[in-house]
Amino acid sequence: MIAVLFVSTAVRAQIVKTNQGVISFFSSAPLEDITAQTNKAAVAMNIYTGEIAIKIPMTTFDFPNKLMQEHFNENYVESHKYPFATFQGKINVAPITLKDSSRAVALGKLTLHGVTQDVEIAGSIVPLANAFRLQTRFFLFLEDYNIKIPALVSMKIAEKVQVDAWFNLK
Amino acid sequence: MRIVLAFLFFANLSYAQDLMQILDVETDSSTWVSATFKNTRVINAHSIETIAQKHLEFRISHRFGSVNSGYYELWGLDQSQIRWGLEYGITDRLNIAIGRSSFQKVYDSYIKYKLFRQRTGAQSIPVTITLLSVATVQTLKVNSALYPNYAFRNRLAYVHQIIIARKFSERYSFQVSPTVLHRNGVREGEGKNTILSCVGAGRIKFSKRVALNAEYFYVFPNQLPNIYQNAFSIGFDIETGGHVFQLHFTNSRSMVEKGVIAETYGNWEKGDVFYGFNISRMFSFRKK
Repeated sequence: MIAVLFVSTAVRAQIVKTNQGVISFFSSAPLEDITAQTNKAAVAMNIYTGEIAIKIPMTTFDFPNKLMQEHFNENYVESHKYPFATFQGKINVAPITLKDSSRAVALGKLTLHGVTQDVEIAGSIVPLANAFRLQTRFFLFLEDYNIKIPALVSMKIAEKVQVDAWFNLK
Repeated sequence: MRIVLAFLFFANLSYAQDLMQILDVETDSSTWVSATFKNTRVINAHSIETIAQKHLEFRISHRFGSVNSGYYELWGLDQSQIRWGLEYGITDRLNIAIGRSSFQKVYDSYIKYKLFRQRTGAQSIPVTITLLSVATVQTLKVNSALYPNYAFRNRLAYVHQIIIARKFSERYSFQVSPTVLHRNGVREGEGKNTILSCVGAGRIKFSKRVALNAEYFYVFPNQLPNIYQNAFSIGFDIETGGHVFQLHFTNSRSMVEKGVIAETYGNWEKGDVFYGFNISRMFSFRKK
């Protein structure tokens, strides 16, 4: 009985999570820079195995230009059809401890706009008081996720998008 | 101990697989419905859409002459009335605007507030409701011999509207708007001062950037003389990034509510309709 109790607390303690993960993206095209940010990404990580899952509600991306936001949801990522982007994978430095900052690579599947790609994302793990801070910057190409840019706006929307993300997991 | 280890291992495994399920429980699946209509206007009528905070929309609306005026007038294209407007989002829900129409030299101003927003998911709200109040001043010169004491107040008219809309699907949206129009001054043969009406308007999206809109202003009977018609309009919205182009046919000459409701005399059956063309451009004053 004691053993079972011990086990269940141990298991619970090995999952750290947040639902306030920050993800921003930036793209620069000849006529327009596009930037948007959400702080509603949900992230859960198993610190023993390094397994990690991320779920991003697409409509929570906030753009300074609201018309862009509407077009982002309606025309490009089609949030009504694909409301979430997800990542499921594993961080290569497990088990993860609260000792030192370390570079790490997450291998897994990124799903965006209904298209799943195998990706390798490099980042770092920074120990904070009672939390793990994961941060990364990487690039993705809209073409890989079947997000089409009409020729008419190709001067305004870049194919290559820089993504920054940071999560404080508790 | 071996059993405990086995259990621990099993629990680890199942938890790892369930990470995404943990997130599924934690993420709120309800989302606000956006883009019920492409624009703040369906055609003549306001839609439930409001302009976002610190965004300014500049609209230029054109209404040409009647299509049945023949080739001498190039089927109406020789004549054009214009309304321009500046419309601003104080908050995402509260908008104010000013406009000027060349037809009857009308200034208009409105205040618009989005009361409820449609929402899907766990805590759903079925409709979006927006309130609209418009005031107009008609500034045509009056014949002082005929009307020696024509008071300014006679030039004023007000429209109040409750707009209720639902986006039924990505393609199809519909709204109804019970409407009260009050005109301070009406001359003989112009009907009652206060006119009750209801507007029905819908859109079907053909593609990501093109939608078909239609709207009908139903004026309840026994308020206006028979020469006036209910306004019916049909048109397309074409969106190209920062601009929305609206092309339509309507039997209303006027582009402000009081005219559309109570001064529409064009008759669809006789081809007495007008071609209209609006352009709107949105500017954002938000810091990046």
